Amino acid sequence: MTDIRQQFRSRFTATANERLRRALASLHADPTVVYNELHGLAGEAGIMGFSEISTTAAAGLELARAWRTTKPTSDQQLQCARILRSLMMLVGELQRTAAAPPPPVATPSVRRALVIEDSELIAEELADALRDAGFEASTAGSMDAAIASAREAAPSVVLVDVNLPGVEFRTLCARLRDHAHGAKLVVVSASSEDELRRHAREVGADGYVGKLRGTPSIIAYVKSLFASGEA
Amino acid sequence: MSHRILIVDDSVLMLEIVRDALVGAGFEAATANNLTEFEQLDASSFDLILMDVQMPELYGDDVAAVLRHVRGATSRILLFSNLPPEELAVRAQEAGLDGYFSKRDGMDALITHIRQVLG
Repeated sequence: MTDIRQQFRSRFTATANERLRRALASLHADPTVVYNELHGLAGEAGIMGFSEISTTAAAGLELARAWRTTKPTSDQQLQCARILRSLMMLVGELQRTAAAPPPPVATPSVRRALVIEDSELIAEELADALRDAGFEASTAGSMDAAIASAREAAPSVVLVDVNLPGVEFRTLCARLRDHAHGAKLVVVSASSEDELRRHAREVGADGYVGKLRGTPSIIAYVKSLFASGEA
Repeated sequence: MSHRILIVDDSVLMLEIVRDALVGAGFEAATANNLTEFEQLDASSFDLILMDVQMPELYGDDVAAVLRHVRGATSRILLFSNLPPEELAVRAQEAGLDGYFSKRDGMDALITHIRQVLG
């Protein structure tokens, strides 16, 4: 997934800008164009995992859905113009990220692990065990801290708790994919195995492990992800 | 032998992203950008068809229903769209298809889902 996102990132932003330009130009003349362009953008952003762009485009799409048969009101046009401008900013931000030099990538000899967990006690226990297992480990207890750590530490593996208070799990994972390039994503939770599997599948994680299995099992699982020697 | 997958979508970018990702995951993949391209392919020769729903000249669920119930195609068919999942579920069920996948769930989840569907 990471490779595909890197491979198509500039094509995606160019196409998105074209779509948004056409939508904005057609807002008063032909609102059905707005629907079609937002529909295309929401799908392309969704499959690429750019969830904020996809969600924002979907909000505009919902507004424009009725315009295929009825004329928009001026209030609706204004609201839609705001959404289009927000999307332009988000796509612009993505373009700037793509233009920036890539973050340093951990080498096989220095594997870094990031533990995202709101319980400081659990986070530190996991981090200590990871250090004992040869990882450089850091912890984060919120979305902002997690993204900042992902950018700075360039982790090889991210252990992410499903139930971080006030954080939408899928959004967190999508942002981690954006900022922790190439990191393996492991979902960790006290949920049932079925729930864990579902969460992992939804976010395209590399694996999942139940908290109830205990710290040694979690560490063994993380180590097994690197059994072939790749970082 | 790897499974053969056909992707039908009006977005060229979408087709290229999904095709490259599926090939990278070990599948064979072909694409159709419109009805003409779709008609030139033997749909029955694919193990799975990912069918976009809202395309300029056709509704994917209508095409899929004809394919399944009139032409007797045995390929598995999934609707592939960013319409709300509940709407996709109804459309897939009414057309007698094998299910749906929401583009909002991303590429990794798509590959996982396809592997499950194809066993």
